[in-house]
Amino acid sequence: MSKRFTLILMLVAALTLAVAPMTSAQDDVRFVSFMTTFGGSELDALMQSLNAFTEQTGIQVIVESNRQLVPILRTRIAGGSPPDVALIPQPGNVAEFARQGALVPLVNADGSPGLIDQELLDANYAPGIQSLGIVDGAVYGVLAKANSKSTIWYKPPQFEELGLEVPTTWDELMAVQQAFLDAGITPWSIGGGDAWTLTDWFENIYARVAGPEMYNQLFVTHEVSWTDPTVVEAMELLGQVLHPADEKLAGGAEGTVATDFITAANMVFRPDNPEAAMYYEGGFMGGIIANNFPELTPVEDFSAFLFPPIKEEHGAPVVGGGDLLVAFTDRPEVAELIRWMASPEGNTLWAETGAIVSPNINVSLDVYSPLGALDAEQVAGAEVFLFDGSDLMPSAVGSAMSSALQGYVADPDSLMEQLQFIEDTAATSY
Amino acid sequence: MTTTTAPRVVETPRAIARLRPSPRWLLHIVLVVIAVIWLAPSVGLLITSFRPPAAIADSGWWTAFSPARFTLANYEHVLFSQGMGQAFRNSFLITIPSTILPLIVASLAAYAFAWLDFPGRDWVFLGVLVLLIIPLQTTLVPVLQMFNGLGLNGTLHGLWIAHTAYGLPFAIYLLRNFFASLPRDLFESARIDGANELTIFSRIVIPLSVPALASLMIFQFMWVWNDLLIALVFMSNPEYQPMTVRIQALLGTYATEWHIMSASAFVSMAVPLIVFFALQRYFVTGITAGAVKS
Amino acid sequence: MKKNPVLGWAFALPAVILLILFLIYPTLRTIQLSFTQGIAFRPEPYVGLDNYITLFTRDPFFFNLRNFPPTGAFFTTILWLILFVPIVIGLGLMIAVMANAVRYEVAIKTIVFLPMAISFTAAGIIWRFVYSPDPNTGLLNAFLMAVIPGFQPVPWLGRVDLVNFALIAAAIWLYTGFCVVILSAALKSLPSEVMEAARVDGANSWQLFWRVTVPMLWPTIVVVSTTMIINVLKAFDLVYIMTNGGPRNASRIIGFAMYHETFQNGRPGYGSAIAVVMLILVLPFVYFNIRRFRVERQ
Repeated sequence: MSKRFTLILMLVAALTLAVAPMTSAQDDVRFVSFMTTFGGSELDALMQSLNAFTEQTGIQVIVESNRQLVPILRTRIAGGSPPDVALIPQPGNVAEFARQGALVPLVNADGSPGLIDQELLDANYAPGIQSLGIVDGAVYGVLAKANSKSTIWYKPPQFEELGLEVPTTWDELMAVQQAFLDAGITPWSIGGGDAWTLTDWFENIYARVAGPEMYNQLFVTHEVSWTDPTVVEAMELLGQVLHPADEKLAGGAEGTVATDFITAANMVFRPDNPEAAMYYEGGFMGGIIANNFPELTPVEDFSAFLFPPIKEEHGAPVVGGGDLLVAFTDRPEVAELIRWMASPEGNTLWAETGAIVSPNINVSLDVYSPLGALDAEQVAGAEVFLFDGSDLMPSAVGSAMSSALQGYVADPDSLMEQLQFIEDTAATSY
Repeated sequence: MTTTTAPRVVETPRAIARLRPSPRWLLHIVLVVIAVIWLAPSVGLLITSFRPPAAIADSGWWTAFSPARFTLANYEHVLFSQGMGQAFRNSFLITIPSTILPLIVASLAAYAFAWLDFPGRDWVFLGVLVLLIIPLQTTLVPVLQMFNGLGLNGTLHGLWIAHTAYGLPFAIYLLRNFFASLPRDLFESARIDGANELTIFSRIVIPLSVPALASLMIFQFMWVWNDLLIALVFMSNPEYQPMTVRIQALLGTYATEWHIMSASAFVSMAVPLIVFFALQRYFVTGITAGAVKS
Repeated sequence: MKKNPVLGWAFALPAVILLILFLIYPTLRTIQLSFTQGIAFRPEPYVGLDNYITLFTRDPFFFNLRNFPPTGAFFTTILWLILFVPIVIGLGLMIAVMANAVRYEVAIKTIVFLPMAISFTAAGIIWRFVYSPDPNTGLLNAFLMAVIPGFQPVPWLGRVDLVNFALIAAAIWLYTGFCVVILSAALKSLPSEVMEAARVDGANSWQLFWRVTVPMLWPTIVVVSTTMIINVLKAFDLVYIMTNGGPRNASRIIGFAMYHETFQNGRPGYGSAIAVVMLILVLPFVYFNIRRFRVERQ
């Protein structure tokens, strides 16, 4: 019997070796390989635009979707086989790859055309949006999609019941918070297990306390220190939401840092046993809530308001995120794809699916659903659009900031110690 | 471990043995408790995989029956998504050679380490042991550079060789241990009878080690079948991407679609479980003991 | 033992070639990188022992003696070694031996083995569900609240003092099946005459277990323990999926720190230094194995 066992093994091995054909890159077909973190319905939406591109040009787009984009990209770049293009969610990584010489400039530092030319960008993107893709004077990336991260999600029927109005200043927001506390309702649910939800909170407050200029000096250039009085002030304002955690946060401090951002939203919006009243996160939450609770009517049952201004002089800048399209190779097919993805047509096809908000100024607001319009209006109507600060920092500082904020949730008195820790990490990382 | 255990003759008065509580019912209770603890999380996942997303978001799986809210949509979504059939085939194309090749290469080497004397043997074996600790991730960049040079990047052959190499340290370590525990007389008498090493290897060592080979085969099969990292790095060609890669492409950026995750976990578990059942009898029947006598 | 240099090498050669190309050469590269910043995985610029010095003096999440007990990935890994390895081996051995004595052996072994067939991602998801602080979806909290009156839900993965125990429990669930399958295969190949002889001599099952089964299985127990120790030293997936090292970096272990620094933070030089520390940590266990290997041959 055992001889037969061995024999079978050998036979199967031989068969598979014989059956499997050698694979080779499709030399005769024009193609572009495209790496992204999008999957599922997000990917289906992107394909609406990419399929139209293939139809028009005959160029195949081979999509590689994975959720560990940066680790895999680093490996593939160093190993000598990067994809042709990629959508990267962190401008910090774009800058890093550009400085390593891994990226092909879209427009050179002297303004001469790289893969595309400056006129195409000027015709379609506001300067603030363009600047996100600029590293050392040259353009390396185009912001392909954007979303606001300045939206506070709430339940309009509940506001009505308690006679509350949508707050338009920080003080009004604190009054709403107090009204919930008085009514015996936990005001907030925060998914602090995903530490970026905490960094997003801080970024919105900081942008409103210190203004865009200092925001960039803190996150991008580290000219402002993490122990600066403005940082302390913003942290103390954040503390008004966080502390005492047992009263204000669903699950208390420990529950908050053990909850992921989606569960935290579910805890607010599920029809049975909701545990909190409000939830702050990006515009993309609308789609997730609608998906998880199809029985809720968007805008009527759940909706969002803009994170209120704190200091009058700084207004309400929109903090947001997005993905930058970058190129690793300079084949003509790659240039054609970038041109398509920057064009009004390519963007409109994608935005129409409702999956994204396009930062392209030539995409009409009419293409969005009521929920998408909430998000799109904030992005398009923003006086100032600031990119998510933790994505602009070196990764190590981002990790330190996440950890420090989780520590601050647990212990308000540790504030200075936590800020010193971020500062120590930042001091060695820029 | 040839001489460790001439069993000590234990002279226990029968009376003492009888004083202990009957272990039989205790044995059953302990085993059932273990079974329940081990099953509960997986059963939870299984039930979750049949629930609509809204139900998953607002209540635990143990409440799924009151009121009953079940759906097959999660499985439909996974099984009939674009390219899943091809990915399923690819998983086999990748996994079968990647399971068999390391078994062959490792058993040859393990035999040499256990029963052949050659210069440098102990040092080489020591090296193999140290290699057990190497995290896969640290090898990816140099190996990818090498694959690019050899044109193996994006090919099935490249994946097979990579999985074979990564599986070797553990396979050699495990098999050497099993081979070394075979009785010495067996080899000596075979050699006296004039059998050559290849014959001894294929006629004596391999048949006697079927339980070890079968368990090794299961592990290697599962590791390769469930691998995502190596496929993401070395298989950029979508035509040959395995199921693990296709499945994660079904999930959004933040990967919290529990309904799709749970259903796809069961879809991809099915095959390793079938392999486990198929090989079960090889390590349940104690082949060695019987064969040694003959 | 037959002396035949050519034949011995011929049997070992295919394995040796593959190991050199896929593991030894990359490891030498890793060692080289650990003395540099390693930007973009290129061994430059040279920084001497800086990475190692930072690791042991300035990285509170790797090696921190200011707390008691000391914290950081290094010490958390030691906690794993102390708790995880004996429990998983003990349980594995117990289940293998007990299952051997009942008729539903296959069923028990299959159930314990089941987690092995699940991918790490799915296993991590399962346990996040089990530990959820929300009693509506978290199995463990729901169970404890049903059993103990007045029990308040515990955020198992959110508490610095509990998170590592919670992760270790999940890892035990995952790896016991591995130990059972290998130990049980070894158990099956023990000569049954020995057992019979001992039983005839009047040994009860407890004595049989300690005086016959354990000594005879010892070489396999060493193999399985070594494998488990190594698994702990390089573990990363479960932590990555369940807590991503949090809360407040309390659940970082060495393998996770290596991955996080190299690939997430883009510091391959620093990450390589951690990999080299892993390599050094495993040497005592290798020495133990080799010594046994020598003794056994005499």
